[in-house]
Amino acid sequence: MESQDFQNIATTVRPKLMNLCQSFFDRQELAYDAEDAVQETLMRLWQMRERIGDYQKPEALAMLIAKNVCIDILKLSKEQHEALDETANVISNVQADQAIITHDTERLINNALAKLPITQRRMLMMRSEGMSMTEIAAACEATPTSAKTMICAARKRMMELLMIRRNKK
Amino acid sequence: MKNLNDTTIRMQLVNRYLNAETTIEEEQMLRQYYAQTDELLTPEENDMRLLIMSSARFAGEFALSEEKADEFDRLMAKKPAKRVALYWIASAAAAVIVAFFLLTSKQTDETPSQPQIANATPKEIAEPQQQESVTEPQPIAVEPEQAVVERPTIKQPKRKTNRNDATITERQVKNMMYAANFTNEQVETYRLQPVGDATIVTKTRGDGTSASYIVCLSDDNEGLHVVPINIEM
Repeated sequence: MESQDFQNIATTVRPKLMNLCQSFFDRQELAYDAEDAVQETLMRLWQMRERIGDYQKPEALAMLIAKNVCIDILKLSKEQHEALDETANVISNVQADQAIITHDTERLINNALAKLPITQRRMLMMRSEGMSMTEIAAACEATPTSAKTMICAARKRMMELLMIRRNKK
Repeated sequence: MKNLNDTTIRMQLVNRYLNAETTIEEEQMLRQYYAQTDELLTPEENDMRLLIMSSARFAGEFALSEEKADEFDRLMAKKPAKRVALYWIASAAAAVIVAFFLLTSKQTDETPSQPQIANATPKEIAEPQQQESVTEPQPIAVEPEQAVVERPTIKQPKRKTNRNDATITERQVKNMMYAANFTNEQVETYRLQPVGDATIVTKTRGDGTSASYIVCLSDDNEGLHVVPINIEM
């Protein structure tokens, strides 16, 4: 699938995805932003771009992905209320020093990521997946210039947060 | 890949990365370099390595599942049970807050002639008393060119208590107009009960059921605040 094709599909299907995700979150009373679910859906659609031809309609595939995303978010929000100390149990089974370093690094990154606005975080993910600025813009209903600006701001903010954390140690 | 061992070239690329000016290929090169290098990095560059490497951890396969889509459809087919109950709880809470506010503001208003909530007399809308209070000629001290103004409440040089009486009556009429247009129901009678700046509107339908609202004009007199306090009594 060409990049232009993805942009066209994303633009066409976006309002329908938004309706679907919004109505789901309203019914389940989930404190999640439907925009985040839509962006995740379009990112997954992009990841599947080579297989879109297997499906009769890209729109139907997008709706199927969106339903998966909504259920994933629902399960994630339930899991967040359960067993917060499970991570420690996982670590104890791995080589101790290495696990602690990895865990610390992950926590460092995740804490910094959590401080970013949702769209900036999502754009970082999309970029790391290999999406171009125009594709990210189409998925996030932005212009390529603003996508670039937001990714730039997100990266610089991440560096600031990592530096602050390092200086505290 | 080779040239990234040169710190100057690498730092240029890193700065372009921070400014989101690198291509996807260049970002991939940086990621590969930091994944493989055993060079001793400065603390600043180590932060950069963390940032660039962290991007990679987002990547991952996801399983597209028809079962999840079915689960989604199942959940969407269910009735949203709590929402209606929450709405009425919120309405009741709002009614209590409004009533508290009205009582409090009334105490500071020093208008002894105004009726208290407990002994306020409900008025039928058809009572002539109301008509009289709207059209009752008032002694008005206005300029000659203003004498044609038909709404005496605007320029009344009366004391606060009297002005409030006239205003409440005018509000009652507006509240009534609102209540009449609120639904398409067949309403038999309306009862208006002034409480401070607000009015309790009770409408009785042909089948004997009734509904009550606290209706209050907004400060700019352009809109109405309506709080349902009981429905289907």
